[in-house]
Amino acid sequence: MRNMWIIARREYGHYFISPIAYAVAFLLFLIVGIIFGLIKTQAPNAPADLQGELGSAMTIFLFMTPALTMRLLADEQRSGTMELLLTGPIRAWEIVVGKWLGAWLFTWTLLLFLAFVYGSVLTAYGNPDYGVLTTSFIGLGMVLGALLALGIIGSAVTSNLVGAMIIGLTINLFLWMFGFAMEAVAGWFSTIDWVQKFSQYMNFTSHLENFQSGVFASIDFAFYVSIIAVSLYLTTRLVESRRWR
Amino acid sequence: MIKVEGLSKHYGQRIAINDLTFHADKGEIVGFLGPNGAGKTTTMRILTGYMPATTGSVNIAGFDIFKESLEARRHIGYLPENVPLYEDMKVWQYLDYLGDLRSVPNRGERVEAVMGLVGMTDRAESFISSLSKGMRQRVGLAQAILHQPKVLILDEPTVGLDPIQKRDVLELIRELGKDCTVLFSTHILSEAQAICNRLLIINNGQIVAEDSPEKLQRRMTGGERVKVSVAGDADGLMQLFKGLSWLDGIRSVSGNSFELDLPGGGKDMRPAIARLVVENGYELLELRSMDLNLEQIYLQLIRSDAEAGAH
Ligand SMILES: Nc1ncnc2c1ncn2[C@@H]1O[C@H](COP(=O)(O)OP(=O)(O)O)[C@@H](O)[C@H]1O
Ligand SMILES: [Mg+2]
Repeated sequence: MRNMWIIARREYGHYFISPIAYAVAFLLFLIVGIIFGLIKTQAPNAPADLQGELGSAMTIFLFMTPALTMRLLADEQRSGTMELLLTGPIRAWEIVVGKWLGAWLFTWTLLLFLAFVYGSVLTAYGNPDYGVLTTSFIGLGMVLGALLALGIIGSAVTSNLVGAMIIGLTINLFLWMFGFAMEAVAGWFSTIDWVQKFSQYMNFTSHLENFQSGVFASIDFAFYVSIIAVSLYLTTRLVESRRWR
Repeated sequence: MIKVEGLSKHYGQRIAINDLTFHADKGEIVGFLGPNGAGKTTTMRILTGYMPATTGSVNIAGFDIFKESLEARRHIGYLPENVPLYEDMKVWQYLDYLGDLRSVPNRGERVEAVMGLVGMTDRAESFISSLSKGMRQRVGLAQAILHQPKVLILDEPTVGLDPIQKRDVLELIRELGKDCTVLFSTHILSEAQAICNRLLIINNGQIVAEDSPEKLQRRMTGGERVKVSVAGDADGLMQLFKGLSWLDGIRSVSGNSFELDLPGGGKDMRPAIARLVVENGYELLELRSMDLNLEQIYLQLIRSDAEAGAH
């Protein structure tokens, strides 16, 4: 447990000297800024919320999280430091969870920055619903946790950075598309109750929409938490299996 | 401290090490000696818990490396062959980070002390990416001894160093060997000979010899080699030696000197040779037993092992 935090702290700090992390942050702030500007100037009477902005942030993350996760395990494997970690008194899961946690905390930093900036702007010019804003950001944080956990699988599969990124991206997009596919399936079987429920549950974006409308339901948490748990478990097994070769 | 029994590792069809049994006791420096591809790295990776073995058992400081891996790993300091470092860290940061992961008490002081031991104190603030090969090796060593392990496993710690750096690293290992058990691998005999209490010679995944450098030398020369020189004409002497069926080998070194391999077994055959030479009318100048040096023994062991393997 202690080791997990030590590794998380190092990875968190590493993002602040990483050009890729700065590029991701820059693009995120730029695009959210542009969309905020567009929405609020086109419709001056729009409600004081961030629905559209955070929806687009989710799409950005879908494409960018693999860039944040690709080096997490791949670099350790490539430089041989994984051998050092695994022969020290450290368990494989502590490495995997620590790395993921470091990345998650970094993206939380970005989210808190957005929350602070746009929360202030909305407060200055309107009358935002702070409850909805809070659940929206928490929802986005959960989505990020899931996307980062999926991305780290790619980093465990190959020590090639580009390969790790492409695998992460493929998994992210697959899961996202899977939600749409399930919507279509649900349309065909509109009379069968459990198909409806299942398709709703498996939809990556619908859970975020619940958060964004101020709903704070355990099923939405459970969805993202289960993705995180399964991905990190799988990654741990991958790291362990590398030494069995 | 290190106890290995019947250790084998197969990579698919390939047998990397085969039925290794050896031990290293407290305060010993054991040299793990063998040519490239002999199986040194494979053995060390199993000993440090990085890889499972196909069969066999390993006990480190009283703990089974497979069943009580985490406990055993606490007592191991390991320098892998490729000296893994974090390029983006400063020297002290690297040591501090690894010390933290290993729960080293009084970490700050210990990091300082270890940097002093390997002579890197004045480079503490340097980024690892800017270090020379010799310095990287020393940082790697510092990492391995940081948590004061009972067992130190070093995979070719001197490879790629210049002679002075090599001497320094060996000196350091000798120093470290006072407090812990050291197993270090090399393919250069003189290095092992310089600091080891005991040598394990490994070839093709098997231990072909194991002893102290002195005993190894004595044992291998148990079958003695003598040099015989005569004054003047030596025609026919070769024929004469060939007539001695109990000789293991005959070589002509120059026109009038020869090297004879006598069989082991206790009985000194030198008087018999002297008599033979003199009685046949040759003037004996020299009859001297030659010590094989360890370099020759090493080559001989590995060569004979390769021949045995070829049959
Ligand atoms: N990961 C691996 N997969 C397959 N064969 C390997 C692997 N690692 C080492 N080997 C083989 O095992 C043998 C022993 O290698 P190694 O332990 O690296 O020897 P050394 O360290 O003594 O040079 C060699 O023949 C090598 O080719
Ligand atoms: Mg090797």
